[in-house]
Amino acid sequence: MSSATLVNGKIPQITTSITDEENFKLVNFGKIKNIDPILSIIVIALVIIGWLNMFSATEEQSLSYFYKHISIFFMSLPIVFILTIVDYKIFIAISPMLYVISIILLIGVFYLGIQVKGSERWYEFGSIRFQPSEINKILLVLTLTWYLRKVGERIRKIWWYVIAFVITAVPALLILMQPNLGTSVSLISIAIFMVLISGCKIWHWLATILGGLVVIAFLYLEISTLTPEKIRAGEHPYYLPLKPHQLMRIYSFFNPEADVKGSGWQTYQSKISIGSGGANGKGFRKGTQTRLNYLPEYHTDFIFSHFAEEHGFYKSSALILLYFLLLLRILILAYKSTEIEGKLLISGITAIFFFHIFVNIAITMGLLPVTGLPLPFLSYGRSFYLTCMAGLGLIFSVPKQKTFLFKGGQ
Amino acid sequence: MEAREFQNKINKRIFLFGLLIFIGVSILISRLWELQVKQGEIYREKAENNKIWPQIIKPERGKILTRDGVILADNRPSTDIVFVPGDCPKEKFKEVAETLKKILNVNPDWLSQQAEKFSNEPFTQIVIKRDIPRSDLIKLEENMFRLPGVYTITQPQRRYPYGSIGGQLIGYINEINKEELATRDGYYMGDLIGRAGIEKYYEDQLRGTAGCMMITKYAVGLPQLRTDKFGNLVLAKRDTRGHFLIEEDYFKEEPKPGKDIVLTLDTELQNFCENLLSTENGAIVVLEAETGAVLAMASNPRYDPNIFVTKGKDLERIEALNSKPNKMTNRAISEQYPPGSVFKIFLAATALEKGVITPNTTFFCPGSFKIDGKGREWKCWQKYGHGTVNVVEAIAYSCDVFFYNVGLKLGVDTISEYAQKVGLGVKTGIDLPMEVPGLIPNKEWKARMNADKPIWVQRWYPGDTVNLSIGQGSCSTTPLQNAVLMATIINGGYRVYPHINYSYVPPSPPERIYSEKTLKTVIQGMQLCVEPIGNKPAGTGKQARVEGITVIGKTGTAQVVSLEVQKRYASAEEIPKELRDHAWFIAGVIDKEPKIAICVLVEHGAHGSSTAAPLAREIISYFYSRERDKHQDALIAKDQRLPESVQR
Repeated sequence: MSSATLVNGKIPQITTSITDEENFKLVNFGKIKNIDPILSIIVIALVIIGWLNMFSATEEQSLSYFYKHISIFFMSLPIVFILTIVDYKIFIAISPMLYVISIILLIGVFYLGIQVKGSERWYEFGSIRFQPSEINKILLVLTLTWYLRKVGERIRKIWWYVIAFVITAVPALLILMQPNLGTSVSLISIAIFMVLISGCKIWHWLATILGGLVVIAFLYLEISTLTPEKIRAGEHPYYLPLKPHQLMRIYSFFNPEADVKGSGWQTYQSKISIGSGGANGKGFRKGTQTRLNYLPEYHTDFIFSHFAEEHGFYKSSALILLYFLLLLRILILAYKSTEIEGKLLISGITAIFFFHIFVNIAITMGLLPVTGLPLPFLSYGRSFYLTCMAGLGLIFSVPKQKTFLFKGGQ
Repeated sequence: MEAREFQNKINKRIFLFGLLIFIGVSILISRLWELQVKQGEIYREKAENNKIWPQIIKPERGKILTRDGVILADNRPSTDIVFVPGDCPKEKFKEVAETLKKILNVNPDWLSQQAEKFSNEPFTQIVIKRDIPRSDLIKLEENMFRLPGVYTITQPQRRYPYGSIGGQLIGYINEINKEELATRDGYYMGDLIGRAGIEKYYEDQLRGTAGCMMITKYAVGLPQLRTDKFGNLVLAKRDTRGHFLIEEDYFKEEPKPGKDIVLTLDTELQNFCENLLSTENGAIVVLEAETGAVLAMASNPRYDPNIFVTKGKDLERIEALNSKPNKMTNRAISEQYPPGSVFKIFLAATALEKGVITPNTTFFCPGSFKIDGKGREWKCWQKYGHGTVNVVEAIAYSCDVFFYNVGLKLGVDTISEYAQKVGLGVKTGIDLPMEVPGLIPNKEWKARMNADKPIWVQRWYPGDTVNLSIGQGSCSTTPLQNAVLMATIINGGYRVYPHINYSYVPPSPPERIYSEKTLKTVIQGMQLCVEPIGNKPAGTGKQARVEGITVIGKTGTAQVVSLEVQKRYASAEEIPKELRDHAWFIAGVIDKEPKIAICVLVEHGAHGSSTAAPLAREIISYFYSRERDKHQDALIAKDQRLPESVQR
């Protein structure tokens, strides 16, 4: 007998699909125990940091964002509990159907949606606005989990590998056309991380990354032939259906001096905010950049710049490390999961978190072009906040072993 | 066992993922170190001492002119007076306040209160009087030497020199609201945006592109712009908190003024048409038949767009927006009326074109009509009938029974198809906002409108076609559409693209809808309508006749309420005004250049022949008798005084 049998004196179940589960229960209140205390503490710490930071960022302009930011946390708690007690496999089982519905919603939004700020499209029901692209992040994780679980080890074959990206490309392209570059790229990143977890061939994966880099280099060459005047006049490569202001962001990332009053200005001000914080920061509620209205989007995409300005290098690094702990803890839970679906699902949610954290902070520090991605728990943005909390609920729902399970038996 | 191996492999990959995350976090922290610790001092200095601040410079809005060179919308300089307390020494404040009271009637107490309010930012420009008259400005400039801290800001202010002439076509501008600011690119707080007419339709061309000026400034306080005595934009030396500012010359984008829009309007004719309508509500459209250019488009009641751009006209503004009947509505394109008998022109041309009837086809009119001799009875307006009529007579005397027969022969599908081709019941695509399509009903439309009703209500009956044949029922058109129909008849049967921008180029080659042969017969009928030919007496439009000019035309009457309601009154004079029929007249001139097509609609005018036709006659005789000024300047009527608001 292997060491695996010793866990809790029982043989850990390794199930292969939903149907062969013996005691399948749709709703199980006992799973409240599944809620991981360490992960919860990390998240609560981030949420409280988010509240304090939002207060300091918005008190000069309008506290309404602060109140809404607090209220969305409490509004999302029931969702976390519901997702925890409901068996997550039911979501995986119906995910292909939800996927099709979401594609229909994404197509429908072109005809029925309203456009906000000249970019993303929203559905509007009375006073409630709903952005269909946000829900696609979680949904793609579920769909890919379903797909990769069905495919199993065949993912090492090139065609099964490619199909995973085809599944991703359909919503990603529709969202790109909305146009919403940030969410579209985030979907692709989810697929990249999930196929890696599911055991694809490493060289396939490296080739994909390399291909992506080649595409970016190609775009760089293509975009560098344009000029700001041409872009503002609405000119764009025919295969890039981007709005002038979006193309301008990419252009001004490569040519920072080109658009000083537009997106180049945002990055420039963000870097000044972060840099002027120094090692120790200017102090809580003492950041001049936000207060004097220099920092754009101070409550959404550039909230990290505000934090870094007020708290300096040590505390900002601590914040980044706290995010690192969050990701690490989620990955440990993936490791401890007894089911392959669970591992895939949790890894997919990790990919969402990691992508947003890394890209958002990299943008504020001028490492990546401005794309408008929120920072989990810190940025104002209720749709994304709900996505993060729903992700946590799904993580809690996955059954885990009590201890590490090293090298299963034969 | 395989599943176990697979799981181990996944676990290895999870380790790999963790490693990738570690690399990502390391990148972020090292960059953070670079920015905050290594270069922290540089950025701190940038944040605390110097800032590059982009100051937006607003562009000047384009003018709106007509083809005869009359400026209908332009910008005049408007001067605001500002006071900067920081530039005024304490001991001189009293003197300054008294001088300002003398010249501009500014309350000295109010001024000192304002100065007190901005004591934190003493270099704020406090606006003390907006848009001062020229005479006050001259007095002020004479006294400038003893007014330290008083400056002027001169900026362009929209004005409409001819007031309500073409007012509804020009439209107006006002300040952009918050929602538009969020949805429209390139606008800033306080920008003006077109709200109606040309100002709205050509907003993108008229507004120009904002410029940008780079200012190195201290982190607190805002930079401010003002104008020197020559009217040039200059940067105030200090920001609102009193820190010195430096303008960075190396990066300055001058604003690009908006483009001027030249209209096809004939200002004199426009003015003439508006005066014709001054007592009646309605609309007049005059088109150049060959090109579709709008020569005049009048609509009454109307408004003076100056009330929307001049300060202190709030009451007039509210009155105009809430007036009933609404002054803001351009009745030529934004209101739809049943075309009545005018529709017969279209029906006759289509039937001849399709070969359903020939010029010799006759029908007998006994004064009423039944489908296949049974069922409901439709009346002809001529109680005792027209006898046997051919198409020329039917047009001239407006015989209903003839067209009931023609309509049934043509069928609703053909009518609907040709209506779309000509531009009836669809938007004509004129370059003005708020155009309504009107409606020429067809089978699908009836089924769609009654989708929740039983199937027999959804079906299209021959009776519906009979109603449609004389332009009644659910059928509705705009005055512009009927002018387009008229222009199509006299320009040789080509599709007309009405437009008001002089630089508009219609699509070529134009689509031909009616042949020469068809039009000859129709024109003959319309000519007989206006003047006697041979031994035949003139028809319903005889009041439109002009000596020496061949005028063709057609009357029309659009019912507002059913005949039963009208019958309750003893005589036509007793019917209250709002229940009387709308009067139509469409007219064209075929033997003079340029050929013009006219549509007159008088709301509740009762009869096209008596109220609308005389107006068409006035327009035609005016248009062709007028001595055209070769130099094309000062064409506008001399007795037209400038509105009060723009007299300065």
